[in-house]
Amino acid sequence: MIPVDYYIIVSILLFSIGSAIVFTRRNILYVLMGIELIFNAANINLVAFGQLDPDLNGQLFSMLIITVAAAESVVALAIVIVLFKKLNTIDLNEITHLKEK
Amino acid sequence: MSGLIPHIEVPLIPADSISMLALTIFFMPIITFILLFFTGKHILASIRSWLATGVMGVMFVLSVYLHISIKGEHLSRWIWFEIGTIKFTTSMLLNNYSTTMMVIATFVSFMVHLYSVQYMKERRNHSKYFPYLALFVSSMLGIILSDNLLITFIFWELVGLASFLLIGFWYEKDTSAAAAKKAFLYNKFADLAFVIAIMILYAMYGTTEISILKELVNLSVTYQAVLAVPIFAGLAIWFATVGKSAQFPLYVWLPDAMAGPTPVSALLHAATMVAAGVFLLLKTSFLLIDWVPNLITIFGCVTALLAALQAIRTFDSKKVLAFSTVSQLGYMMMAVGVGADDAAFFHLATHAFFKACLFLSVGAVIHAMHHMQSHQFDHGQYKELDALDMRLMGGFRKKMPITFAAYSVSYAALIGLPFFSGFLSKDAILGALYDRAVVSGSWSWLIVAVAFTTVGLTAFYMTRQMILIFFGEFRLLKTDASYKKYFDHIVESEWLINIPLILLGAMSFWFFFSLNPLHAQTGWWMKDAFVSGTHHEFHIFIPIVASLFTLGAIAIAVQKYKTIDAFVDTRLTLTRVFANNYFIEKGITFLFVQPVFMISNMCMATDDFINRAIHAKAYFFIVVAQLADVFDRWVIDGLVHFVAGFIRYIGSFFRSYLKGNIQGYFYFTLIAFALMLLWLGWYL
Repeated sequence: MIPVDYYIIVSILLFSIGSAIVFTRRNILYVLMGIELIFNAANINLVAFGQLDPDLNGQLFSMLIITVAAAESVVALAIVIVLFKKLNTIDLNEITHLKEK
Repeated sequence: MSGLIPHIEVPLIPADSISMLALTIFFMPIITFILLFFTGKHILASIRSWLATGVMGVMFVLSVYLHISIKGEHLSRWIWFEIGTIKFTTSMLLNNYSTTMMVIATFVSFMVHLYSVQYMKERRNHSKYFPYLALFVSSMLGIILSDNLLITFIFWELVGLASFLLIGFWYEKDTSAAAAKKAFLYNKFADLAFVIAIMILYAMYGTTEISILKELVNLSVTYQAVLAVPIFAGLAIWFATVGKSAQFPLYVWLPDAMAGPTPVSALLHAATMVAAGVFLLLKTSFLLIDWVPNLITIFGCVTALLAALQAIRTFDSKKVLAFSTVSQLGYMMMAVGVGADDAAFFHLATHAFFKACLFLSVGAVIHAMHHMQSHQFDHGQYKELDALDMRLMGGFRKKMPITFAAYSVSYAALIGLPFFSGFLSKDAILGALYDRAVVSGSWSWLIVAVAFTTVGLTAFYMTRQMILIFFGEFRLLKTDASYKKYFDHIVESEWLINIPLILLGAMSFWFFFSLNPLHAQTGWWMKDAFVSGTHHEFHIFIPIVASLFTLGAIAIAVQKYKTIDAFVDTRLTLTRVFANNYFIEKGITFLFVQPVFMISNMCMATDDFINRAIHAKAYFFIVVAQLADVFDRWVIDGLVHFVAGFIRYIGSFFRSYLKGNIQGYFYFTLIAFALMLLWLGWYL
């Protein structure tokens, strides 16, 4: 059995890559993809530690997270489409409407 | 108190075939009413009127058959409705008494229907006339047949409703509408007493079945129980009939009710409305005990005298007959009061025929007067003409011989000439009054004296009317000669009007009621029609004295009106008293209406005071509320606003570091997350 350490290293790597994408890219679609990577980093952790549990609850839970993430990304993409329609851009530097006027 | 009186079960009795026949007769006019009321406008007028008349004819034939085939009493009783364990029963009693009344009612109604076919042909608002008549007749049949006071009351009210609709039939005329309202209100006032009677009897005896009540009251009398209940119930029922049968304080609605169509007046005065009161009183005569009968006699006597006096001074041809009806009803009530129920019923029956005939023949004359008026109108000369005024009539004897013959026959019956029905029935009543006076003495002799005087007065005013209408010259020509050519063209009315006149007039002869023309005690009517009255000795001097009074009055009237110019015939002081109905209405206004207004004014003042108090209270609360509002706005709201503003200030301080850039939020999240990790690490 592969030791848990390796999984953790992979997951840290994935999390870092995702965070880097989220923080640096200006295209909103890339940011969404980065968020997905972060999600999956958490999933890998769940699966890895879930091995140790004889009931495999953690692994089952990760399946649920994947499903919810898929539904979430649909909502996120819908928001992006609406944003594009309204502002005619997907550049995050130009989308600053969360700020209080 | 009620423990003394044994409880009597109310048994249910299924209807036999005779009762079913009576029910059929009862439902026929109801069906006619419903049918014609809702479809009347879409049916031809002639079909409509002939349908109603035909139904009435069939009803008359069936009633005669019923009367012939009935033997003894047929009581049927069934459950009307149940509330919990209380069962309300309803019942129908057939005996000689009720079937005789049915024959009278259906015969007179049939005649009135025949007459109306022609009479109403040229008049307005025709489509509702026959259904209302049918409603009138069916309600009367309900009163006749029912053996339950509650059901009787329902039909009693329906008779009131139907009379209201028919008196106000030409409601476009103000007088009609007012007369209908007056009749309705006077009757409603009296009907309150009926409700009270039913409540008293139901509370005491627990039933409204008349035949059961009869046994219970008789038991109360034998057991010497408290008699206040039947006494007051009897008093209340009598007061109800004071309204419907037009007795002394409340009779003033009846003369006004002449505003309705003439056939309706005939029906109202003969067989339905006013007969209902006497009929009910006869039905419940077991309740009249102790001092109540004396009261009834006195009021009947006063009614008979006052109405006869008024009739002498009236010029409206129909109102004379109306006062005459009131007066004759007074006779019937007197007879009820002295316990001569059979004489009262006999007079009710004979009166129904000759009074209907009198109304219809006077109606025929009025019909002719209207014809002249409408001829004038056709020639473009419309003139206001009171077609009912006897001062404008005269000389109709030669123009309308059949009408004159019918009128004079029923005239003879009303004033009580020998060989006519009124002679027999009036003789029976006078005999009963005399017998009573012999027994009780004192004031009873006064009653007898007044009764004989009224016989004379009746003869006087009827002779006066006959002379004014049928003899002398046609006096309308004196005021307006342009009517001359129309008067020359007046002929006898149509046969549809004459046939009822002839048939009703024929019923005024003696042989329908008793073969002995001078004395009805041996006749079949007094023996069979109403088997309960006491037998009275026949006194030969009573008809002789009455006839002397009658003949004397006729002689005086003929002497007085033979050559008189009727226009001068007004003695103002007397007429004013009579025209105001002896100020009865003013008295009612003074005694009842004004106190009510006074009380209502007092109530209004009290109410106004309460209103002001409430207003003051309201103002006080408004001031308090304003103060509370200020406190709320500045102190409580101020505190809340202060807290909220403080929090908002902190929030905006932190918000000022965010520029709306999404990635900026990520940084913050990350920093916060790192801080949380540090904090956790520091703890662990």
